[in-house]
Amino acid sequence: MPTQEISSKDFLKINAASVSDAVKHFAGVTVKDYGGVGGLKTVSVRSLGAQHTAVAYDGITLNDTQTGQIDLSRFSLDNVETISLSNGQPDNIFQPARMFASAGVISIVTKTPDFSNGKSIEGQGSLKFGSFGLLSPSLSINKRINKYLAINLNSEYLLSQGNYPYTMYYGGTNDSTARKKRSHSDVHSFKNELNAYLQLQEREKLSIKLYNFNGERGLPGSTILYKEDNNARLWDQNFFTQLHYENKQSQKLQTQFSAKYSQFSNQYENISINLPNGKQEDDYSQKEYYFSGSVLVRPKEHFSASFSTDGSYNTMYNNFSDFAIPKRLTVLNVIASKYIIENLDVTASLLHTYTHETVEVSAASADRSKFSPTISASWKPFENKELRFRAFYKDVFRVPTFNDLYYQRMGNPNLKPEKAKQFSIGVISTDKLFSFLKNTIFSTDIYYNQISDKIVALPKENLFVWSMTNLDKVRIYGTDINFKSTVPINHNTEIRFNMGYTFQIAQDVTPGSKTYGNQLPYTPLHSGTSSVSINTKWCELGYSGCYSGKRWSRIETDVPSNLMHGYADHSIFVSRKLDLKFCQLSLTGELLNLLDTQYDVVQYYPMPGRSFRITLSTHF
Amino acid sequence: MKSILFLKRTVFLLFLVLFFNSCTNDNTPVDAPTVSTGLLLLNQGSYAGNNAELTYYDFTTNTATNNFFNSVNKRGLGDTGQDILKYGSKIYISVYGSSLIEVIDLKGVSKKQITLKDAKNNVQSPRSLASYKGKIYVTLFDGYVARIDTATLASEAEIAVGSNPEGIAIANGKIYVANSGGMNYPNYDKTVSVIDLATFTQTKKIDVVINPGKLQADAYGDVYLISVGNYGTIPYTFQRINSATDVVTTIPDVVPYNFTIFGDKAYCYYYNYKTKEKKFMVYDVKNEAVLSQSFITDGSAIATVPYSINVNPANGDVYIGESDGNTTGKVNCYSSEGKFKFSFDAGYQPTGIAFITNK
Repeated sequence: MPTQEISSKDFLKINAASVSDAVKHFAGVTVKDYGGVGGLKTVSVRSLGAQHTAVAYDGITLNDTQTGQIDLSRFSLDNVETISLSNGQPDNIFQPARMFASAGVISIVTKTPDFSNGKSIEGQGSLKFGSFGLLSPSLSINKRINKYLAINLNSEYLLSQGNYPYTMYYGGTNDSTARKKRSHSDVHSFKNELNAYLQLQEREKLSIKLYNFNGERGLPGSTILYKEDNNARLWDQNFFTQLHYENKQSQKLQTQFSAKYSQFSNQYENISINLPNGKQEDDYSQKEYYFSGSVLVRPKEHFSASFSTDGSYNTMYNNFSDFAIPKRLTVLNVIASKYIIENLDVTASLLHTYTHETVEVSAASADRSKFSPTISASWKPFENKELRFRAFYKDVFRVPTFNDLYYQRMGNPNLKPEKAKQFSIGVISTDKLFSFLKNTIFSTDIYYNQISDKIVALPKENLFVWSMTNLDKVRIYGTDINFKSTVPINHNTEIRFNMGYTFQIAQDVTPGSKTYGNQLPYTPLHSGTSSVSINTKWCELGYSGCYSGKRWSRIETDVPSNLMHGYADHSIFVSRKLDLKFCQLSLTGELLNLLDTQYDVVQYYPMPGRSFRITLSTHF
Repeated sequence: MKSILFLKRTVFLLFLVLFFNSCTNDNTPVDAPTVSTGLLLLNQGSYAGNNAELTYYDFTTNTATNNFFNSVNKRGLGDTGQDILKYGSKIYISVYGSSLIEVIDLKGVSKKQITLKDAKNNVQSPRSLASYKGKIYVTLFDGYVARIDTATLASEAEIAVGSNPEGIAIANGKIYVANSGGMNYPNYDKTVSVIDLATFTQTKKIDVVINPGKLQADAYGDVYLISVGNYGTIPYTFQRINSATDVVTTIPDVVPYNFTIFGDKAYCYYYNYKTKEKKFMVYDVKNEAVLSQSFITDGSAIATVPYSINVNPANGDVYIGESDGNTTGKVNCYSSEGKFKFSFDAGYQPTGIAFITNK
């Protein structure tokens, strides 16, 4: 399975402050960004849609049964060690069954305490500030209690006024414009996380996490011509606790268990004179109980097999008068096996999904029971060349979300799951290519995806009352190219660069569709990223950029107002490290969107122009 | 040397990527034709899409020009075009999402953007328009009706009505306003406010079927009204208010989604989203009886979903707008006998039409 990874030491090189900034630099990824620090940011892999992409936090997927998508802007990079993207599913077969149940997995792994320097307490603190009222202090402390137990506490506060200026375009390219400022787009949030790591025996490990997030943000909505931004707000509370136990009994047997309890609630308030009593207030809450167990056996050196079973129970509530109050039981079982001989790896898995739903009002969806097979292989044809061919096929689906099924007046409990078929073939080389390079990775993959029974909204009773339906068919052809290398200049100095390019043709192929063959909205044909950084004795400095070709905001590509021009967003940074007696200090300055490019990722949600960010951090 | 060579390559590749992304400017501005005899169609646009627009259809050249407002005025019309009304030498367009009334002349050139504000300086959102003796009356979704002077193009007075007023009609020295309560699902309003034109004060509220919407007066002192119902147990209902007595009568056998009255006829349409059944009915407002359950007589059909109905007052032609909700729509012109004449492509959600013709 093609995997891309960015680790903590490289976050700066791509000017990334949040998980969404980092995943933009993966090839094949489209981040839908509603602008600003507080704007929703969701990720879609290879044009399959956010709901086909799982996001895992320390090995357990985050689950939003209401919308099916995870807002990546909520996750900062402060305590993150690596972020990786696996197309298909991760290569490791010893995983909870949920990791097998999506078309792609973004995996966030937090830092584990490292006491190799002999200290029993260590940590880091940082203070970040920047344009548009950005202020974010954070602190992470690791403490070794004894040889069995270590704990980590990390806290982060974020404040952003988000009142950035932008250019409002009142018409086409040569028409009138005005400089405006976003309003009601402030954010503040407070995150606390406590981790305990227990080394029970030499082969037995237990980790426990408590995570709490409290946030409040303005929701300015899209910019509307001649009108001020919306005055709406959202309050979020998210608490989860997760536990992971693993036991490497022997070379031939390993077991692991995970459990999680999560609650997520939000309050939405919209103030408008058109609403009854001048405002609308909605409350939503979700709960999840989750358990997973896996066993891995390796009877022979070159053969391993695993079995994982996951059970989860999800509930959702909101304050609408006739809301269904749905509850879902999900049972996932997967068997997987991996066969490795010298030059060839073959992995196959079969996932079974069972869901059962109940509701308190009206009718629930019928039970679902479905198999999803995956097969992947990689082959290294030459003994002395670091060149590997890889291919996978995966047939997976997404269960409709609670919004799809039960949302007031819109939901349709008879929806079928949205199916996705993926075919991918590619090559990865870790050869130097040129003698003056090192750490070179070059990869390219081409893929074909097919979505059927795509869940879309269509008018139901009239054009004011819409409902969810299985309708569209989508066909996606694409290619991802990655190139990463380092040019050593001398003992202290080296230049690193990284480039990603994505080409995608994603078309509506619904039989009888008026827009048959049109490119899907928000899918550029060409997009890419690049970064170059120079490491010297005194400092590190670099450039990073994101590029996108033209896209359309709606499926009709011949309507001029749907065309969104291509853009390039360039950023630079400089960073200096100082080794003091008790700690290491580092000071980083970043200039983001250097050329003050005015662009939208989502139409009428302007992105911030030129801005700066300064980070002072210390490692002790 | 090798490094230099390599750097050259890197720079080359970087430029390649930049090149891909910079040569995509293919938005060529189109010159708008000059309006002679024809029509200006208001396309409502999609929700929060800032794509309300005008289509100009020229009766001489038989061509339609989309994005007409933007081409003439070098800026967009705004978000959600709700209603269009020709009065005298000007055309008034209520742009609900952008909360303004755009006033253009008969060539499509903007004369003024009228913004209305409540006592607390909140910007109000206009819905439906009516005209009477040099004044434009407009419903405002926060529960008011404003009177705009057509000479000064400024608001003179506002009065409070019920919640979320939609349709507005003038008959017998009175203004009738449909109080929908549309933002208060499921507790919709079910009243029509009656306003005395001379004093511009609300004299009473009369009860109608829940969620009243469009209102239009005929030439015989009656005001016709559609109540949308509650999208569930209470269906669309066609009603008549006698403006002499303000007595409300429910009209059986006609279940219109929308209608327009021209002369003695009310042209109505109905669409069933489940069965995809379409109906175009004609109701005789003089004799108060159903004339026909199928207006289209030549076997032609509306391909998608009927969205609007308008009549050219100069010749009685009936214009049926259609939209599937997701893609741009179309307008079909029929003779008053129900025979297909022509059609043209429109923008998103074609709704009202201002006819600029005498023939």
